[in-house]
Amino acid sequence: MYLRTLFILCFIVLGNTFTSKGQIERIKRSCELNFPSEFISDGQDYFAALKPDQKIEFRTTFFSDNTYRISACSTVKKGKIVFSVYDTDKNLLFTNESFDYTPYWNFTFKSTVTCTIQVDVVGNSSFTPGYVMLLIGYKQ
Amino acid sequence: MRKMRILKLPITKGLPIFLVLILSFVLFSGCKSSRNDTEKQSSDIENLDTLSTIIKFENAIFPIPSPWQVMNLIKTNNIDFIENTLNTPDAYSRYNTSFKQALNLGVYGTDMGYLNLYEKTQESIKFLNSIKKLSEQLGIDQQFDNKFFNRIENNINTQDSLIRIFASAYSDADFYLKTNERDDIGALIITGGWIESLYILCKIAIQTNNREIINRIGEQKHPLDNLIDLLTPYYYRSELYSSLIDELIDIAYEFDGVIYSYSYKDPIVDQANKLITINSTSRVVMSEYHIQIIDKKIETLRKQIVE
Repeated sequence: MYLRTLFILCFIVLGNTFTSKGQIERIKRSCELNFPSEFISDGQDYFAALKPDQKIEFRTTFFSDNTYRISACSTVKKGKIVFSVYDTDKNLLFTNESFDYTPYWNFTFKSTVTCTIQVDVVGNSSFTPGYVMLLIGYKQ
Repeated sequence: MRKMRILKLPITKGLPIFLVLILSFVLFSGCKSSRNDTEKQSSDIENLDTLSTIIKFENAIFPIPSPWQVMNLIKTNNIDFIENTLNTPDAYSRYNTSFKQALNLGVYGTDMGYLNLYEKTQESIKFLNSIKKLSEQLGIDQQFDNKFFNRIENNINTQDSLIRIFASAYSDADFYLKTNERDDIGALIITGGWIESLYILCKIAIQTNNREIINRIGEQKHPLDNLIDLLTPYYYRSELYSSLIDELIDIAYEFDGVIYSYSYKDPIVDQANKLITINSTSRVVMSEYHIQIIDKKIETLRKQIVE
């Protein structure tokens, strides 16, 4: 009995060790599906753990006369991922909540604007913690 | 004495102790080797739930614009190539610490982007070799493997494809580093790339006085703040980090003299193409003095990195 418990414990610990990494790798693959080759990655991958009642903020600068794609993904099974883009004056420029929670959107900037992208999961009280990932790319 | 007693235990009693030891080892080594940035953030968030100001910082991520995109403006302005601006390809052999190797991997990436703008294939090949060597030394050569070099070789004359291949490799390297608890190295690569792009832009601005390039330098004010925020968690890791961050902060003080104004205008949504046009306008006013001083300071910092 004692041995069996220990074996189960070993299995759980080993499982957890590899699951997080696997989750992030899966989320990256899923995010890349919405990232066609005409968009060039900015060379970085942004991901973070998301817990109930918390939001992740990504602050970045978008340069004038460029078109960008933002693709957001999550491993959170219950709930929908919301990403909203605000300018430095906290004006809401875009939220995917208005577009049926689409996982990606394109942005053309007439001028250079520094923005905050807020990522959140909504829609289910029994939210389970998970990871969120954001990919940002510009159109060549 | 204790060791002897364990060895004398019958196998059925000794096995659970052996398993406990394995379990402890897995538990601790698992935490060390595969605990990634996000998991660390998660546990930090747990501990800091009541500290709203820190939560804001812990939950913020600081993307830095790609140096290749920053330099894209050079291409659209038809600016001549400036000789002797780039790092020397064989300098990689001088970089003996992972700190310098990572920074210079970023520097070489930006240099490749600059050469690529002017289709300087022969020079690019030398820089590719330096990138290969540094990535090997940093243990991220899986992202810069033979497949990567074959793709480069097949697209050496296709400017857009080359940038795409580079961006993808640097992104994979960033992902690998972040998921293997080496996010500091990832941050240094980004820092090196950013410093080199600002250095090149300053040299072009001084030589050409091109207004768009000067504005693009002024627009680096917010990315620099992000870069400092990105590096801040490593401030006390070593004197190398603290010195680098202090110098970036010093440059950020100069950027405070750049006037940046912004006015909101309603965006236009094109739902069919999943596109929004942001019509808000921004304006950068940067004096000759600020260009000169930022150029001087970035040159000094860059010299310390590449020498």
